[in-house]
Amino acid sequence: MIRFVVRRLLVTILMLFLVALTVFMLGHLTGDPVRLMVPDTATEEDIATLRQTLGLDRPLPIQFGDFLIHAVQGDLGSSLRYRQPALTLVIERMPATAELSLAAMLIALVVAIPAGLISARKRGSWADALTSVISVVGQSMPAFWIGIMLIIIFAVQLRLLPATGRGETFSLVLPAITLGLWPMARIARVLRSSMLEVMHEDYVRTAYAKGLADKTVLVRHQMRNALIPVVTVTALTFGSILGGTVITESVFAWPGVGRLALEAIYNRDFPLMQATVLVVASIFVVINFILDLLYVWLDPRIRLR
Amino acid sequence: MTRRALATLVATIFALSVCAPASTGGGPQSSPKPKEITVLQSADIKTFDPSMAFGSHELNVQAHVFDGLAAIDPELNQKEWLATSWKMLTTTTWEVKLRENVKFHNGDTMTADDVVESFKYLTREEASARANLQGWATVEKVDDKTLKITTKAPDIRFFGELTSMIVMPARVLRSNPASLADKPIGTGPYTLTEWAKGERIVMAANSNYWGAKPKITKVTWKGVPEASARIAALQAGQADLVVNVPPESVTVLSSSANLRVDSVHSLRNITLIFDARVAPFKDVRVRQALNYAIDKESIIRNILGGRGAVQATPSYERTPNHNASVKPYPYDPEKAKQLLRDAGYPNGFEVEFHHPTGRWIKDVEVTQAIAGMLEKVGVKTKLSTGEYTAFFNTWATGAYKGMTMIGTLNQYDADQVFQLFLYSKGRWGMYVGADPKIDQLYEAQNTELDAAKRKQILAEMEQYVSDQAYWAFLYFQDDVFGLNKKLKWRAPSNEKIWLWEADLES
Repeated sequence: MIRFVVRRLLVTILMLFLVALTVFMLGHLTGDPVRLMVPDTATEEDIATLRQTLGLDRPLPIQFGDFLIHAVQGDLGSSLRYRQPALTLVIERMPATAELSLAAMLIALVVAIPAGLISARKRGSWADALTSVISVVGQSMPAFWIGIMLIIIFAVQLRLLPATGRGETFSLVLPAITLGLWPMARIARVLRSSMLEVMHEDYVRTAYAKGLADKTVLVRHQMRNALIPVVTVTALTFGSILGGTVITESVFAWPGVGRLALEAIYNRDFPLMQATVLVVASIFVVINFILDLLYVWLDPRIRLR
Repeated sequence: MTRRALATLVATIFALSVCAPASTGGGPQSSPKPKEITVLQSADIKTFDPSMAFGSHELNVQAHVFDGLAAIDPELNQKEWLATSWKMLTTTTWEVKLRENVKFHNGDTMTADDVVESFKYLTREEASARANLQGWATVEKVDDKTLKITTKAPDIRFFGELTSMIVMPARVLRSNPASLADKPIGTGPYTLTEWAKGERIVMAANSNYWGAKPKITKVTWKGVPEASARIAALQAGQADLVVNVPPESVTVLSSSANLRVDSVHSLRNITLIFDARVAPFKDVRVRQALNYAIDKESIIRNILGGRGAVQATPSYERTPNHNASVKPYPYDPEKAKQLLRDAGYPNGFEVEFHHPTGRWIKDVEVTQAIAGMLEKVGVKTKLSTGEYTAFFNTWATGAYKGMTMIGTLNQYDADQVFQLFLYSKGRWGMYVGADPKIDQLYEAQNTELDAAKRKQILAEMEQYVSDQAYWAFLYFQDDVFGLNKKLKWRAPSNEKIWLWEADLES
C-alpha cells in the first residue's frame, strides 16, 4: 500500500515538473518574451538591457532552474496588464472557478449516477432511451451554444434565473448546468456500460443465488465494481471541466480563472497566461493523485498488484 | 432519484421551454426597483486611485467619487467644477478660485491645502496621471479658497489640466494614500459602499454633494468584456445600461418593448495612415487618388448599419477648434484613376495594407471592402492582419510600409491629433516624413495664447492636411449603448458615463 502511494506521489511530482517545463517552454517558443514586456517606444538598447536584467540572455536550462525555484516559492512574475503578481491574481479568481467546477461536477454526478444505473437495469425502457438521447446531446453540443440557449430560455424569456455574473442568488445555476452537461453525459454512458458488464458476472449470479436482496446485490456487488471506471472518467472529465471554464465563464461573465486566462491571451499578458496554465494544470495533476488513492479504497486488487 | 422524479424533472424542463415564447416581455418581472441601476462596461476597474487611472471605463467609475477642478461633460461642454474661476496673471501664472462649502465624503471641508497635496500626489514619479499635468510646475496656496498655479511655459492646455487635477483629501494623502485604491474618499456625487472585486462595485448617492443631488440613489457597476453576455444581461433585466452594443444586436434590442438603443458619433476616428516617407505615397497625387477611390458612404451604410459619419479632417466635428468648412473627398473613381495616371502609375501599383482584427467595429470587413474599391482603380493591396496589441506596437515603431488602419481619439482640442500623428517630433508623426509646413503651423499654435489667432492657425492646418491627404480620411464610428427604456440618459460622444445627471422613471 505504502509503496503504491509513494509511486503515485513520485509520478505526480514528475508530472508537475513536466507541466512547469511545458509552461516555461511556451514562453520561448512564441518568440522573444522581452519584446512582449517592453513599451512600444523601447529602443534596441533598452531591450538588450532588460534582457540582461531579467537574466534572459543565459542558457535555457539555467533559466528553467531559476523559473522552477521561483515557481516553488510562489513567484510566477507580474501581470503585464494588472501590474500585480500573476499568482495573486489567479488565486483571487480561484474561489469563483472552484465554486463553479464543483457545482458542475456535483450536478453531473447527481444526475449521471441514477441515470446510468436506471438505464442499465431497465435496458430498452423509455428511461434508457431518454438517457441515451440526453447523453448524445450533452456530448455533442458545444458548451457556448448550450449556455446561450439556457440564457435565452431561463433568463431572457422566463426571467427565472440571472443571465450573467456572480454573487446574486441562483447565479450559479445556469453556468453550472452548462459546464456539467458534458461530464454528466459521459459519466452516465460509462456507468451504464460498466453496469451492463457487471450485471452478468458470475459473482452477481452467485450473490442472487445466495438469496441476497436486490438492493444488497446492487450496492455491494454490482456498484462497487461498476464504479471503478466511473472514477477514472470523473478524474479525466475534471480536466475538461477546468478547461471548459474558459468558455462557460466567458458566456456567463463569471469572474473566474477561465475568463482571466482568456483575458490574458487577448492582452498578450504572458506571465498571467503562464500562471493560469500552471495553476490549473497543477490542480488537475493533484486531483488525479487523490483519485488514484481513491481507487485503492474502491478496488483492493490495486493494492495487491 | 426514482423514475417518477426523473420523469417529473424532464417534464418540467420541457414544459418551461414550451411556454417560453408566450411570456415574452410580460414575464414575471422582478419588482420595480427604487431608482437603482446596474451599468455594464466592457472591463473591470483595477483601482480607485485617481493617480493610477487608466482607460475610459476606469475614469467613468472614478468620476462618480472624485471631482476635478474643471470638467468636460458628455456633451463636450467645458465646465467649472471644484474651481469656480481661473484667470491668467502673467503668461505662466494663473489664479484659481475654489468652490465654497464642498465636503469630502469623510466630512472634511475642501480647501486649497487639499489641492496642493493632491497635485503632489498626482505628479509623483510612479503616477500614471502625471502625464496629464506635465504643463504645470507648481501649485501654491494663497488662501483657503485661492490657488496660484505656475506653468512651465505659456500653457494652452491649461483647461485640460484643470480637468485632470483631481482633488483628494489632504488628511488621507498625508496619512495613508494607498487606502484610496479601494477606500476612495472624494467630493463626488456618489460614495462607494461595496466593492466585490471582479464582481461588482456598488455606490450610493452622496447626500452632501455640492451640486444637484443625484436622482438615482444606487448604482452598481460591473465589467463584462463579452458583448453577448452584456446583451443577455440587459435582455434579462439584470442591467439598465450596457456599452458597445455590436451592430448585429441593435435590431433585437430596438424591437424589445422594454429596451432601447442610443448611439452617437463617437470621437473614434477610423482612418488610413499612409507611409508618406517613400513612393508611392510620397506623391500627394497618389494620396489624393486613394481618398477619391474609397466610397465612405457605402461602407457606413452597408457594413456599419448606417452608424457612422464621414470624416473630412483629423479632428472631430465637435472638438474645440475643428474646421467645419473642410469638405470630405467625394467618391470619384475616375478622378482617382486620372490622378494615378498623372503621378506615373497608369497601371496602378501593389501596396501593403495593415490592419488589426476585432479592435474597431467591423474592422476586418471594412478593410476588405476598401481593398475591393482600391482594386477598381488599379491599386492592389496585400492585406496583413494583426492582433491589436502586437499590430499597434509594430506600427508605433514606424516599421509598417504602405498604409495602416488606425483609430484615433480626440477630445480636448484639434491640435491633439496633430501632436500625436502629424507633427514630425510628435509621438507617431514619423509616417508623414516631416512636412515643414505642418511643423511650423503646429509650433506656432502651440504657443499662441490669443484664442482667435490660434483657431485660425488650426483651421489652416486642418485644410492643409486635407489637401495634402496624409491620411485616407474614412469615418467616425458610432458608440452604441443599450438601455432600459425607463432610464433617462443620453449617449456621450466622449465615452463618459455620468449617472448623477440621469434619472429612472418608475
